[in-house]
Amino acid sequence: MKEEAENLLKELWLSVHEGLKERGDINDSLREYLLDEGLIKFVNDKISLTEEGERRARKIIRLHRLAERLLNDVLGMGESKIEESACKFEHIISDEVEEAICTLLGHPTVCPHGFPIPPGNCCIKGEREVERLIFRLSELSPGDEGVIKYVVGGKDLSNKVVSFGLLPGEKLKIIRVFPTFIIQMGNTQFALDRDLASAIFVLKHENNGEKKEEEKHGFFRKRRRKGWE
Amino acid sequence: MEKRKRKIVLVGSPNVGKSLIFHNLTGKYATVSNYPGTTVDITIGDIKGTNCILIDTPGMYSFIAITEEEKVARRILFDGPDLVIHVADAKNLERMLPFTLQLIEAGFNTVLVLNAMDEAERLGIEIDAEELEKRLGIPVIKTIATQKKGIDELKKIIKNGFEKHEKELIKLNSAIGRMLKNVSRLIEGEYPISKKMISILALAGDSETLKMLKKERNFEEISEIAGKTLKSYEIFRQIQESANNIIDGVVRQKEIEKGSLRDKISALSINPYFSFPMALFSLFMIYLFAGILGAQILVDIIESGYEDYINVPLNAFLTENVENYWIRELIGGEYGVITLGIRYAIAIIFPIVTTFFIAFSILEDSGYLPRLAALLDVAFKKIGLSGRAVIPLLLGLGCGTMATIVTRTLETRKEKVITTLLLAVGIPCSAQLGVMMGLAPDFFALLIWISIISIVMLVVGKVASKTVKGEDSLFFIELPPLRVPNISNVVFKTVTRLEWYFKEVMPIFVLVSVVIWIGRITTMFDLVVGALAFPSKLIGLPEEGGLILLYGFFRRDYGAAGLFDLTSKGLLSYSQTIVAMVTLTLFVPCVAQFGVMCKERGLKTGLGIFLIAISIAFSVGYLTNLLLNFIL
Repeated sequence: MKEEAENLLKELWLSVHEGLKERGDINDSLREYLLDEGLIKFVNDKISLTEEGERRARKIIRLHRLAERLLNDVLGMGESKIEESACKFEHIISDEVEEAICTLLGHPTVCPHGFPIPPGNCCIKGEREVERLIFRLSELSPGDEGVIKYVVGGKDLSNKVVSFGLLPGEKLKIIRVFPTFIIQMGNTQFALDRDLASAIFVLKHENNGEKKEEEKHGFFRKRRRKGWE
Repeated sequence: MEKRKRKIVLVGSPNVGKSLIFHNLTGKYATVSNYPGTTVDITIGDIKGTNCILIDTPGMYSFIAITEEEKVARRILFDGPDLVIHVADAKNLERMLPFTLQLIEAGFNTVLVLNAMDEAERLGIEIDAEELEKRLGIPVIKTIATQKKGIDELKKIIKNGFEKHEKELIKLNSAIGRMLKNVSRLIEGEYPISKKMISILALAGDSETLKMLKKERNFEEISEIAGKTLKSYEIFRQIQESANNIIDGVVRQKEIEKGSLRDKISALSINPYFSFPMALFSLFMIYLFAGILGAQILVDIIESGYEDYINVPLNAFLTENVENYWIRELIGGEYGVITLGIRYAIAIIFPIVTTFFIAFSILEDSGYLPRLAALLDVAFKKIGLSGRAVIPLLLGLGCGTMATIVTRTLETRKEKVITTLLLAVGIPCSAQLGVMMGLAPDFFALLIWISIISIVMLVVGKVASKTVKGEDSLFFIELPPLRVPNISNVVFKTVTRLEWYFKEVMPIFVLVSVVIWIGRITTMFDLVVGALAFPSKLIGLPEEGGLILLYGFFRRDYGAAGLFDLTSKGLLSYSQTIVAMVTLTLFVPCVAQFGVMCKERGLKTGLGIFLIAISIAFSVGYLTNLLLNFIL
C-alpha cells in the first residue's frame, strides 16, 4: 500500500511542478489511505497535495533522482536497469542514507535525464563528512585523476562542452588549478576557467598510498556503519 | 562547354594543420596558425593539376555550431561539396573521430587525413590506417603536412576518386535511438545532409537545424520530441562510444620515455611563476624587435633615404617644371601624395608593421599564444573578457583594423564589444607605438604615458564589463604542443599579412593626402582644424595639435607621425609632448578602423565607441595636463 501511495504522490507532484500528465487512476482504498494520512485533499472535487503530502512527494522525487545518479555515475548501470532499481530505491532509503548518498555524489542538482533534483538539508549545509566520490572539476587539485560523469548547466553550456569533447566517460588529469584550470585529456592539454570547471562533475580515482586519504577512509567506514546498518 | 569544377572542402578542429594542407595542395598560403580560430576569412584555391577548387574552412569541432566561424564552416558544408577532407590530429584520433563519423553519416564523400603523424609517433602512438579504412569505409591517409609527407597520396585520391562503402557508424541505442527513429520518420523534406544526421541535430536541440525544419508538416511534433530534455549530451556520448568502438584495436600506445626537454619547457610554460616573467619577456622581445629595430633603426634608415632620394629631387623637379602651385602641392610639398602619403606608408609604417608581424607569427607558430591566453584569463575576466581576447588585443598592437576584424573569433557579443572598445580607445597600433617610442623625451615620460594609458584601459574595461549587456563568456582552449616555428611558415604568413595590409593601407594614405589637399584648397580643412584647436588648447597643446588630431583620424599612425614632425621642430615642451602622446593614443581610431568597427559591430555601436573615444581622449588629456603642471 505504501509504495502505491507514494507513487501517486509523486505523480501529483510532477503534474504540478513539471507539467506531467497525471494518470488519475485512483482506487477507493488508496484514496481512503491518503486522506487518512493527511497527504491529499479535495478542493472542488479536484485532488491536490496537502503540505505534508507535498513534502513527502518532493522527498520521493529527490530520492528517485539521487538513486539514478548513484546507479548511473558510480555503478555504471544501463538505462533500463536504472529506472527499475531507482523506482524501488526511492521507497526504502532512510534520511541518513539519503544524506550520505547525496554528499558522496557531490550534491548533484540534476538527474541523468536533466531534471532538477530538489535540494535536501545536506545540500544546503554543504555537508562534507562522508568521503565524496564525485567532485566538481573545480574542487580537484593538481595530480588528481578522474572520469567525467556529467555536466550541469543549460543547453548552451552543455552543447559547448559536448563540442569540445568533454564527454562522460572521458578520463582526465588535473595539471594546474591556477591561474586557470589546466587538464590533460588523451594527449592534449586544455585550459578552462572556473565557471566551466564547476559545471563538470568528475568521479575521482583514488590516489593510493596517501596517508591523508587513508584517514578519510577510516572516517567514512565509521560513518557508513552508522548509516547503512 | 567547360566541365563544372569539383568543389572540395577542408574541415577539422582548429589547430590541426588544415591551412598547411591547403597550402600544400594549392601552393597558395592560407594563414597557418597554432591559435585556434585565426583563419577568419575563408580561403579558396585551385588544386594544381586537377579540375578542383579547394575551400579552407574555419575550425569546427562537430556539427553543432556555436561561434560565428563555426556557423560559416557549417554553411559551406551544407552548400553541397563534392568531397570533404577531414583533417584530424593523429595523436588525438579518439577526440577527432566523432566528427568523422558525423560527416560520413551526413552523407558526404569523406576522406580522413591523419595529420602530424610525427608528433603522434613521438608520443608512441601507432595507427593501423588500413584497418581504420575498412571499418569506416572511406580512405584514411597519414600525413606530416610540415614536411609535405603524404600529400601526393591525398592528391591521388582527389584526382581519381574512391569507392565509398556504406556503413552504419553512429549507433544510438535505448531511449535516444527510439527518439531518433521517431523524429526521422516525421521528417519529409529534402536536406543537404542525410535524414539521420538532420534528426540527430534536431534531437540535440540545434537551433539552426530546428529553424531549417520549420516548414515541415510535422514540425510541432518534431520540436516537441526535440525539446524534451537535455539529450545532446547523451547523444554525443553515444557517438563518442561508437567512435571508441571503431578505434579499439586500431590505435596502439607504446611505452615511451617521458621528460624530454620539450616536455619540461611545456610544463614551465604553464607554471605561473615562470609564465608571468615569460609573458613579459616575450612582450619585451616584441618591443625590441618591432619597437626598436623596426620603429627606430629601420625607420631612420628608410626615411632619411626616402627624404634624400625622393622628396628633395621631386620637389626640385616640381618647382622647375610645374607652374600651378596646387598641382605641385598635390604631388609634392609638405602634404603631397608622394612626399607625405606614400612616404608615411613606406618609410614609417612598412618597417614597423613588418617587424611586428614577424614577431607575432613566431609567437603564433610556437604555440605560445593559447598559453598566454590561459595565463591572462583570470585577469581579463575582471574587465568582462576571457583569455581569448588576448589575441585581438595583442594583434591590435600591430594594426587595430586587422585586430577589430579578428574579434570575430570571440564568442559572445559582450566580449566583442568590449574588445572593440578597448582597441579603439587605448591600444596603440605598431606604427603609433613606434612613433611614440621615438617621441618620448625620456624613460620617465614613457612611464607616465604607459601608466596613464593602462589605467584608462582598466577603468574603461571595468565600466564596460558592468554596462555592456550580454552573457559572460566561458573560457576553454586547447594548448597545442610547443613547436619550433618553421621559418618558411613565418615568412609566408608575414608576407600574406603584409599583402593584406598594403592593399588596405596604401589607398588610404594616398586618399588622405588628397583629402588634405582638397581641404586646404576649399579651406574646409582650416575650419575643422580651427574647431579642434579649441579643445587642443584646452588641454595645453599648441594650435597645431588640432591638425595632428585630425590627421590622426585619417590614419592613427599618420597623426603620430605628424606629432613626431612637430617635436623634431621643437614646438612642444616636455609636458606638452606627454599630453599629446596620451591624447593621440586615446583619440578616435583611424578612419579604416572606424569603418571596420561600424561594419562588425553595427553603425550604432560603432558611432557610440567613436564618441566615447573622443570624450575620453580630451578629458584624460586635460587631466594629464593638470597633473603634469602640478608635479613638474
